[in-house]
Amino acid sequence: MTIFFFAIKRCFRNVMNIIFLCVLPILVILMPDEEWLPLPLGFQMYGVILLFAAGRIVSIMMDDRAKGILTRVGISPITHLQYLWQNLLAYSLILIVQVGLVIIAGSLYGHDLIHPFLLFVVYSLFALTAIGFSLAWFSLFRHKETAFAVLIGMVFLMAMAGGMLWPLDMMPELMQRFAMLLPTYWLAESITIVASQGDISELLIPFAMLLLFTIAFLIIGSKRRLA
Amino acid sequence: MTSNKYEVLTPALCTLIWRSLAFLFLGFYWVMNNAEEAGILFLLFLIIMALARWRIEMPAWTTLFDQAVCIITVTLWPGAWFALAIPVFEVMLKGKPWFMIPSLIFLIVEAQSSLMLLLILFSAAFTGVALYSWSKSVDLYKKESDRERRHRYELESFKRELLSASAQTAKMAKLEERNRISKSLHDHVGHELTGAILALRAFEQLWKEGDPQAERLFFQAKERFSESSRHLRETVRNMKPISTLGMESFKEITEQFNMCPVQLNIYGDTSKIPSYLWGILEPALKESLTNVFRHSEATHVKVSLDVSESIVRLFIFNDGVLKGSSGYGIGLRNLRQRAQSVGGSLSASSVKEGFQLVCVLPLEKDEQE
Repeated sequence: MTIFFFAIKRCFRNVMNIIFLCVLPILVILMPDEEWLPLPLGFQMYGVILLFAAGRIVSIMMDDRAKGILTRVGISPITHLQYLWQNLLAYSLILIVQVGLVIIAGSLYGHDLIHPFLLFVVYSLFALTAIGFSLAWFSLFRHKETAFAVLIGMVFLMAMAGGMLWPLDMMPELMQRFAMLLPTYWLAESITIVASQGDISELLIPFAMLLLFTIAFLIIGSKRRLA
Repeated sequence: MTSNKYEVLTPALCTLIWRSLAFLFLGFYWVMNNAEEAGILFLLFLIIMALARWRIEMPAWTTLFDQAVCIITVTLWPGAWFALAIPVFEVMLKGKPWFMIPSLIFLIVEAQSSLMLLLILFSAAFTGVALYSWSKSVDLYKKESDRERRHRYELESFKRELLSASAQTAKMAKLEERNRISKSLHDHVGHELTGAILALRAFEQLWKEGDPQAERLFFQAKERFSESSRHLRETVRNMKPISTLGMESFKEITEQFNMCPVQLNIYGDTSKIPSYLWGILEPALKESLTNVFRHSEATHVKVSLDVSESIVRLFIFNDGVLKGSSGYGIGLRNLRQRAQSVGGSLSASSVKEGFQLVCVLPLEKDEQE
């Protein structure tokens, strides 16, 4: 578990990472309630922050690849699978703890979160999807800067098209169907279900979709690429 | 190895392209069709299976999952019928069409006879079979070329061994011959000479004393000398080979070449060259003269053989331009290997004014033997 603990430590070495992991969640909590939204504004936006945070911390693995650390790991008695799951576990744990803290702090701050536990499950699942997405995303690029620049655009696009920033009903029918191909749509969908106090069985399909997206992304991202 | 610009298009890449296109079309079909949540779930499942197939080698029976999911989804979204093309393709790609039987039975039971569907399934099957046989033949060629390469390496090393063995044999034959000569000289000539010397000494003594027997001894000694001289002649005659060897045959080859004048220059003591080196120098000369005759329109050929203390250098130059292919032909390659097997080198190159061949062979010192 050396890699696991080291990965946790590494996530907090960078100032930008600390901002994404610690400062932005505080902003989420401090954002005001809006009349026209079922959840406080910050919690509607929280998915975007999770995507960015996942992108930040998963890029550590891309650093490993670019700096040749992965090559050195390759000749050490550590399999690529061990390297991968210990890193991913560390990232998932960090994000899930962050989700938990945000939800507890949000409720203590006085927001009406309707069903905090279900919300926690939804965001945790989405955090896993976000990590998988970042892993797959970075596996497609050779330079970290390019990958990041395009990722920012991609995340906003996904957030807008997936209905995280505004309700999807405003968009044309065809766009709504396309949106179902994005993981963000299913986050927005499950948040809506939680916020409207729908039946738990309704959450089954969004959860299954998020899980399937995670698996698909992990399969793409787990391919070992040596720079 | 010549590079092939179509090499990028491997069976693996074509499979990837087919899968991507299939999912693209299926996705579009789903978007255009009535958008059901089951459809996207089903699509994502198929995508995951395809990704897994891309990442790891999955056996053909795993397509049964795809088929099962297709059949289940058909009740919710009729578009899933078209998705059956994916398991059909995968099954054909593995060359195991019998795993498609469950879907076929289902198709017949449900009496699906839409021409579009059948067309799509058939084209998927055909593409799968084509890719399957393509990758099989590529594998076959790879194995074949590997085997050929191994054979060639084995043959080359065998040839090298053979050549060095022949050089060894030549040396051994020389030693044996030397042994035979020394034995023959010792046994016959030496014996007779010693006898003659003894007889002469006796004669000297008797002659000083004025003994009448001296004359008899003198004739005896003379007899012995002539006997030993006869033995010597015989030994030498036995040693001399019937066919011409070495320098003489070298000169003969150049004289017999009548396409253009050949200028032969010889420097140094050619008697130092052992017979097994002549066995390389002669074919080298013959080969290059043949090449001149065959491939160039030379007007002049220069041959120089340089024998120094430790090396023999054969230099052949012609002023003809090279016609046709360049590089080492089979003859030159063989010669090169033979030269290498005795520790020498041979190089042929096209220079500005013509074509030249340089062969350098090391001479072994007699003292080492």
